[in-house]
Amino acid sequence: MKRACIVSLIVIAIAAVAYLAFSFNSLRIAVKSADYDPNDIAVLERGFNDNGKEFRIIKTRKGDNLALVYMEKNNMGFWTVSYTGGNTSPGTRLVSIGWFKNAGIRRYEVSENPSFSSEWHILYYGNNAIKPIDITPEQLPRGIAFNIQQAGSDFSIHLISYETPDILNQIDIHSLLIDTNCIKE
Amino acid sequence: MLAVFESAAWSGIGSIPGASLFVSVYDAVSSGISGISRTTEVNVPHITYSWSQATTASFAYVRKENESDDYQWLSYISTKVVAAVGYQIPSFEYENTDGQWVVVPTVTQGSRTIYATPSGYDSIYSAVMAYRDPYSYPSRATVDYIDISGPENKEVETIWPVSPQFPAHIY
Repeated sequence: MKRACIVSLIVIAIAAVAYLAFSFNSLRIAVKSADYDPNDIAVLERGFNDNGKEFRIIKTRKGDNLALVYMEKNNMGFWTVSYTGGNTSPGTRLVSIGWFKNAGIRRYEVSENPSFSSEWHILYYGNNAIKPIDITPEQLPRGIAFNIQQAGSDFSIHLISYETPDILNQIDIHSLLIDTNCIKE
Repeated sequence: MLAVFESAAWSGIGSIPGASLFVSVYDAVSSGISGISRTTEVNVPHITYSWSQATTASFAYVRKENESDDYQWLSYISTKVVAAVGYQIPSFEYENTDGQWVVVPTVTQGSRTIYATPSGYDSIYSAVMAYRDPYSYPSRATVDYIDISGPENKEVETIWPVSPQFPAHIY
């Protein structure tokens, strides 16, 4: 009886350690199992989506190509690859990914139908900057917020709109960066 | 053409016609891509969705004209739902007029609003009829659920709006 208890405790302890180890490394494991490079990961954005699940946007690689991946933590607490972004145009080194979330529901009169607003996000990432990325609000449509991060030739540009998503869909960031001599293909 | 999403809403007496939506890939991407038509072959590997909804509930109390409010009776409950469904197409392929497959890598995002108002919503007539003849006249006109399906009718999500039995169910 005593021996059975000890064996059970050891099994539970091993299972607990295995769970913690797997949970701690699940992001790298998920990235590797999707054929991306687990040794080249940078978390660019993080938060919680409308399903209440934690998400991360990561930069990684597949072979020689940059990749942006939307990771989501499942109910077990393990990270999974939800979807990936793509190159903004064939042959370019600028990749992009998008996501969105509810930003509010408004109604004043109870007889009115409510109006919904959403946060629309598109994140661009490149590694071919040849000078500081410089985008001014005047170069973008009205109502776009943006955030630029840069470290040497690596950079990210995060665009956010609270209006219709068509505005973000129509912005050609690649041409803008080429025209302003910020990147070189 | 392939659907980005379809919606259908149901109440106790059947589907709610005004809540049926069909959004094709053409509808979603045609404003940004030339050379694509409603008959173009497309290959969409992955679409992500998000939704939010607001339910409005109406509680109708009825009493006889010669009675006080102490005798009013909750005879009829109805709801309507407005739901916003957002979609995102990370990338897709389409077959151009030369028969070649073209990759569209740009993220395409969009949203549509579903208005599900069942017949008899907020109806005083229905409330009075349900008061007079509660065993044969329906006392509810509520949106029971809204189905969202994706490409090839694959089920994406079922929205279950609140369906209150009395006002305190709303919080």
